[in-house]
Amino acid sequence: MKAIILCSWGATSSSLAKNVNDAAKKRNIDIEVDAGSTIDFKKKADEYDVALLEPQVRHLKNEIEEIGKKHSVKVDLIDMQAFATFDGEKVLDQILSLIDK
Amino acid sequence: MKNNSLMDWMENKLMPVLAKIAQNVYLQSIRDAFAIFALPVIVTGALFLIVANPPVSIEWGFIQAWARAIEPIQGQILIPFQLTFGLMSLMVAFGTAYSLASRWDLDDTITGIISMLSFLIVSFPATDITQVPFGDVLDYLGGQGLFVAIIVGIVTAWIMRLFTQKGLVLEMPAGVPPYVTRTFRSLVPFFVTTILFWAIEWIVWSNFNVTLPQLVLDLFKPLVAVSDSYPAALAQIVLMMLLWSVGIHGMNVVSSVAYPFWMTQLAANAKAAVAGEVLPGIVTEPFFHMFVHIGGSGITWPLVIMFLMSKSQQLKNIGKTSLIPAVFNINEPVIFGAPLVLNPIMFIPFILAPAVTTTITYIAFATNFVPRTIIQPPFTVPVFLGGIISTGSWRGALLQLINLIVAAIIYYPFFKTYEKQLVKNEMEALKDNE
Repeated sequence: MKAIILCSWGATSSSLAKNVNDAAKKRNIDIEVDAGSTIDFKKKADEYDVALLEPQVRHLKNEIEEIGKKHSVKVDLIDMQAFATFDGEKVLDQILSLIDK
Repeated sequence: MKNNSLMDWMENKLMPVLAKIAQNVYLQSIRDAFAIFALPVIVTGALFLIVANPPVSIEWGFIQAWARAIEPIQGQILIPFQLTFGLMSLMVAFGTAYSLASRWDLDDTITGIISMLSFLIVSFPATDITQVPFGDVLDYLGGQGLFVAIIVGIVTAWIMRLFTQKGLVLEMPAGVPPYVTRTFRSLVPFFVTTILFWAIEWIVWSNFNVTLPQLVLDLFKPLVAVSDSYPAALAQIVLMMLLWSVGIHGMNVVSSVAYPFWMTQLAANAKAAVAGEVLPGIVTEPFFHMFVHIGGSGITWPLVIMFLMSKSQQLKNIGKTSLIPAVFNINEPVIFGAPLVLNPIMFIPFILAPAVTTTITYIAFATNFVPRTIIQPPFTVPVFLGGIISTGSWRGALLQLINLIVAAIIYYPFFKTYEKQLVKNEMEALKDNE
């Protein structure tokens, strides 16, 4: 399983992605979470099962969803509080529930 | 959060409009052209500019010795500056076309290359160019060619899209290796674009005796002058903060229009610095990123400290996660965690603090209390350091300190009101749990 967290430049998303990866390791879940910018996503959407948008790029959700549909990637917004506190556990839960859907 | 008719209006009416602007592919591509393609050459070039122009206003012995030592070889030291920073328009021509083509699913690299070469064609006078001194052209490949570079990039991407969509390309039979197909596909649009810009350059030169970049620069001159005024700076900061208040990256959106103007000013300043003349430009990218958005958009460094010492558990947690990002001027955790987005209390200082510090910064530069910016450090350079690097003077750091104190004073009463409300909610939640 592979997921990606998107922000405008890939700056904040990398710290959050690290926390999610740590949380997954702790729970023994086989998942790889990358960080990236919304621009990169278009080129490598095929690699992922889930894409999460950070709140500052939420206005790009429609565009990303369209790309997601083409490559069967599930797209959602990250919860604002989970993002602000870099809560890896909460974001991991969100990714898992998206995959189950 | 308490509901408020202004916040409702912002969420339901303002946000969709602003979001639409933020999603505009042209604006996004122009911004990427600067922030992704031109920025590396600007930052690299700046290093050599610092070496060639030591901050002689600081009267330390070693700086004076350094200035004397490099004097005879200043031209040589500036070679990497001229051919990186000095070629920023070339990068913008590539980047604009590349980013547009990439969004339109075209061959982005080829489109970028066609655009870059077309831009070179229009930058030369339509004469025997083997006789043209390179120095005559250099200015237009740098800060003075930005507007043409963007136009060439857009037109090239249009042509590429037109030909690809209408199938007006040389198609190879199936079985031909992909790289061969790629070459042939680009040939027709390549010829058309080259001929178009070559013709335009020739027509412009034979009628006006100037190159296309010079002509466009003359047309944009009034706009460039206006963009350097105080009302323009204030309008930019208010727009940035309005966008952030509804959760859209304000700097990204505003910079996509403002970047060519900021860069024109910065390049003019760098050129004047090299020539030892008075620096003309005030409103540049570091004007905002180094002196106003300290700790992140909306000068939130003071807020992070207030949060750290807050009685509200929520704010305290946000303060902890925001501390390290704040050092590097990143504040998304503050904006979305506090949250400052759609927050009827914090909305006021979130616009007021940056607006007031923009005013202070403008006055400081206009009166030459602080030397104007010649270097654009990456926006992540920490406070004080960034002020010194961008202006070459310790007064840059002093201005940052003044702005921080003023912002702290503006934020404090609103922070207190908001904190009180959160603490009350947290107490009630605690009681409910018991």
